[in-house]
Amino acid sequence: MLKKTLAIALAAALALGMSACGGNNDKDTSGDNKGESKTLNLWHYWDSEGQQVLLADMVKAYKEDTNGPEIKISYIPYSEYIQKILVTAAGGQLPELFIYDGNSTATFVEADILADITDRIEASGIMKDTLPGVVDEHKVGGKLYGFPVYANCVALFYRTDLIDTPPTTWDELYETAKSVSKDGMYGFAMAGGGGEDAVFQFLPFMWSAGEDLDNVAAPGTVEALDLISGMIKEGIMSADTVNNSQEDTRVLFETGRAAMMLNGPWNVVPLQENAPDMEWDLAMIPKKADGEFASILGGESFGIGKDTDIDAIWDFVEYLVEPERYKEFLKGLGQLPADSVLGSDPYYTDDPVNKVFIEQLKSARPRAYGGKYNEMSKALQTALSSAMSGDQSAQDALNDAAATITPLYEEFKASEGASE
Amino acid sequence: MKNHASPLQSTKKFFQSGRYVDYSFTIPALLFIAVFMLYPIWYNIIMSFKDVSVSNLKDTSEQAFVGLANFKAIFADKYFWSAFQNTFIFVILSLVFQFSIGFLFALYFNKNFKGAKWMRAILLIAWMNPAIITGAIFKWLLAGDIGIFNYFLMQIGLITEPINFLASTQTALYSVIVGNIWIGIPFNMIILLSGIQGIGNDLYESAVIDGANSVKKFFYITVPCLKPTILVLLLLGFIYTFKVFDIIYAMTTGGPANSSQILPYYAYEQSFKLFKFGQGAAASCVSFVLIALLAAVYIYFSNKEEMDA
Repeated sequence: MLKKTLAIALAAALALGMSACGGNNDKDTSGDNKGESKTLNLWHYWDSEGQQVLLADMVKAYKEDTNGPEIKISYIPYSEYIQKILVTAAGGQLPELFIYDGNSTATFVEADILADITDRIEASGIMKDTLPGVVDEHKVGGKLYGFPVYANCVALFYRTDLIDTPPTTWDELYETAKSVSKDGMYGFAMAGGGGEDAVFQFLPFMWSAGEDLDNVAAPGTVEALDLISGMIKEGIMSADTVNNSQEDTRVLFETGRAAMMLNGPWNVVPLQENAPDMEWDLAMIPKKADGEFASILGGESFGIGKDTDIDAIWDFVEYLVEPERYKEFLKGLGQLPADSVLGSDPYYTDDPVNKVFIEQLKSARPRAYGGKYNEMSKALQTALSSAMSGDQSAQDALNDAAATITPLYEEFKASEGASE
Repeated sequence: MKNHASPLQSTKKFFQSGRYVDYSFTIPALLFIAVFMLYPIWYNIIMSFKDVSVSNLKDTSEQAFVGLANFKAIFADKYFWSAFQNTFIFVILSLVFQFSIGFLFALYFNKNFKGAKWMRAILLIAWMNPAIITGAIFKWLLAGDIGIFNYFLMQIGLITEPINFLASTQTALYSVIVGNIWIGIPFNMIILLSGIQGIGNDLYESAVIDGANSVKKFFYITVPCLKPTILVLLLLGFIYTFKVFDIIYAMTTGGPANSSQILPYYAYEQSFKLFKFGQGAAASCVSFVLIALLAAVYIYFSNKEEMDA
């Protein structure tokens, strides 16, 4: 009998052990009562060690300087980040502070994840000098839901040993690319792969032509896509463009197989490390002859989890964005400030690389198209790759995309109008 | 006295005999299956009939039942149907080539020549490699400008211009299939080889005495003896191939223009890229039904097999 009881007890213990594993997440709720031992949470997906150390040092310094609450930093790989936040939101235990792709603001607001911090931002003045495009990126229905860590954008890289004057218009881009393109060397490279990369690099062309997502089949957008797919067809650009990410594009450039490329500041350090002897410089993305220079806004932001202890975490935020401290933090990150005052620091304006990005950043526009931007982007990705692979003409491909995008755009505009 | 015990008596007997102890050992496994398999499947089915999007994911009470609306939405999407069609092309071509090439390798390694053991082990690397790495390697091999495959074809004069295998909507799906075939060959080989080695040598010896040549030996001894192995292998292969995701993600991300998307990839994109969780769940349900149907067919045939035997 003892044996039997023992056997059942063991089986039950095993089963209980399993359910305990599943329920582990619930334990944190008990610490919700406000006490001295309260721990705040900061989530991020930064995988470079340098950036992780900066963040850890900042939290440590805060605790030492102010005797503030403990802040627990958690790293979650980017591939699982959004899923993790969405799932956590459903469980009701969002982190107080988290880093996210600023472009996802509207989606996160729709998911009811971000706290409305308009009053606090206005009272503290932390966004008073922020670039207007960056402010718009964090605004949904007239309210602010986040603030930038840093900003970036895309510019034109070109080989100074091959090209004397960089192109400034689309026609010059084509001519220059054609003149330097030869066996084993593409004139121009950009990202075209599935995913956001392609759209990220294409939208500046669309905006430069004065077009927008209200009608992606408009003449200016079609002309831009015709220009790119034409260069692919002629062999001035790689036929594999349609499979290339921004990192693949950098590899084409750094291995000497492309004379010009579109890319962002995050690829400068890898480029310098992998091709230390290459002579290159930066210029603005070429514009349509009668249009304006345009670029696209990227970068990361801080958001505050909805229904968390905003008072407690805001104390840390104000410590972090204190101008002198923040300036050092950004330099350490190797990123550009999203702020016109910080951006005018000689550290950036005297640097041959940073000064172009700072200049290009002023013409950078956000992808502020509401919570369904991902659906619009997906339709545009399909159109871009369809035209770049020669499957459809630019006009036909964009007509298909417009059928999906235009209603979504109108829905977004209507919701903006309703909430303002 | 009645011939058979009443339910009450048999329950009593069950407890007296101590059989409940034996059954209690299945509890952990049953719980595991219930929590990690049955519940997610159930939840997915429920979700496919609900309106679940990014705006109501947090508050489950706002997720209204919408009947078949999610299914209607995906059935109206032409990319669902292209993914549906691609799934069958992908699965059938992958299975046919994985199986036949794997079979050839199995017959070859059955010869037990010198070095066969370690060569077999090396071949297994293809199966053990994370598919995301295999995908990246095939992406480079098949690239239009730097791909070694194109270089090879041009050197032997078969083509004059490189073929952009992954950058064309005509060839992207087939390129991904080639990568997937390469991954699956060793698995097929190892299962078939163990099956072949289980066939008694006496069968072949008596066949030789009766004057059978090697072709006849293959079709009248090897294949019939391997039938159970082949059935299991094809079923497993079907299921593994049906849910392939990572190699497509690594090689083409479903493109260009969605031309290399199969159902699991479509479902992933609906759920986690576009945040249409309801429609993603509906697409997964379609996959689930297809696999369930096939499993039913398999069970029917393997039962029949047992009856015949």
